[in-house]
Amino acid sequence: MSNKLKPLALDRAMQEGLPLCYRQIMVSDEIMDEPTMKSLTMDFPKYRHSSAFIRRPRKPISKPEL
Amino acid sequence: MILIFSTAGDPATIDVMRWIHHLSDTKVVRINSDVRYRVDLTFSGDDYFVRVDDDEFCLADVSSAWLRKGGFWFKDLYPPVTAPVSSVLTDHLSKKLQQENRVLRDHFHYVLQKRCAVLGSAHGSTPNKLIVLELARELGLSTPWFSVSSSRRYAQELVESGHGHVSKAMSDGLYLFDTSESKAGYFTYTELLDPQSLDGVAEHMTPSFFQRYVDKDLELRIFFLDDAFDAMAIFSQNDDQTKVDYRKYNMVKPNRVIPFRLPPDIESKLSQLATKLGLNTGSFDMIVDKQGQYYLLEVNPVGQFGNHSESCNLSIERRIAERLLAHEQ
Repeated sequence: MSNKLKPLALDRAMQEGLPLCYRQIMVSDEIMDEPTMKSLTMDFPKYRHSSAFIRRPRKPISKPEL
Repeated sequence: MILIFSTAGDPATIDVMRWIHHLSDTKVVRINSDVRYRVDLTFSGDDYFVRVDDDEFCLADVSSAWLRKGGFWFKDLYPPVTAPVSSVLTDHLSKKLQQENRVLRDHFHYVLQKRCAVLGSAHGSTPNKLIVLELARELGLSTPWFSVSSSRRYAQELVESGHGHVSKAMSDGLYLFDTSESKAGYFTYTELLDPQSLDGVAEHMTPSFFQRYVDKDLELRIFFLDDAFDAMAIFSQNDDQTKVDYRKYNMVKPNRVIPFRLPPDIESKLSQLATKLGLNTGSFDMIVDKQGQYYLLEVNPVGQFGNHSESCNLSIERRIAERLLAHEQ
């Protein structure tokens, strides 16, 4: 998670429809960086449906068994 | 065969699948709730026969199933319909189709539970936080005092009471990654209830959840798999950014985390609570105050445990893989 969280500006009508803790929505523009959007297809033929988006490729790919 | 129900973006699923691959030749079928497949489903006799794209299996072939993420994993079995003459009929039909889908889902889970060893929650969601807190109290676990109100005056009284309070979501809160439009992440956190948080709030407000603020010594994230509990202590209290909600991660100076041994009576009560909630895996969140009192905050059956596993050298992913493989002949 990024350090740079910014509060989202909400209009009054929207604020009134939200419980207190939802009135302070924080936004991070840095979450969706290039690696986050990459889709990884696992190269294990015996697995089906193993195409997956990975939030941070760093961790899973660094596993020694790969 | 092992059946895994998850979502495409779940890193824990990938890690566990890698361990299964490393340990065994067992066939694994993973079905993501956010991916569209061509699905054929037949219940006949006493078993479900399922075809998902090119995979065919019946539940009798499945030794273990892991309900990791998602609610019902077969999308589009009941596609949306539009009635030609009446929007009222369209709405009503849509509700009826949702009901049909729910009945089928619940029966599928029921048969799955009968047929194989199931790890995870069949409902794919977090248990009701307020009920969890009630049950925890009944079992002798402390919980921070809480209340719910739609009255601003009530919230104002809490502010003026002199005891600190926080407001937080009764459900999971907002945790959205918008990959398509704004390319941003949106989050809500546990927030301190202070006079500013009531600025501009009308007397009648949307029902909000309040909890007494506990000045904590440390925070505990406790992963459990069956009766094995592994706790990680998070020293979030010394950082203003993380002291109310440690998920406001400080990337520059991360909170120190260490493995932590729970007192046996706390572990025993958590085990009883997990049994009452019908959970065989998940994570409990607790805090310990300056006097050493333990408080339960919530349980999350589907949370991420990668950081916990790696930081405390627990190899949770391998243990889940072994649990799933244990029922293979």
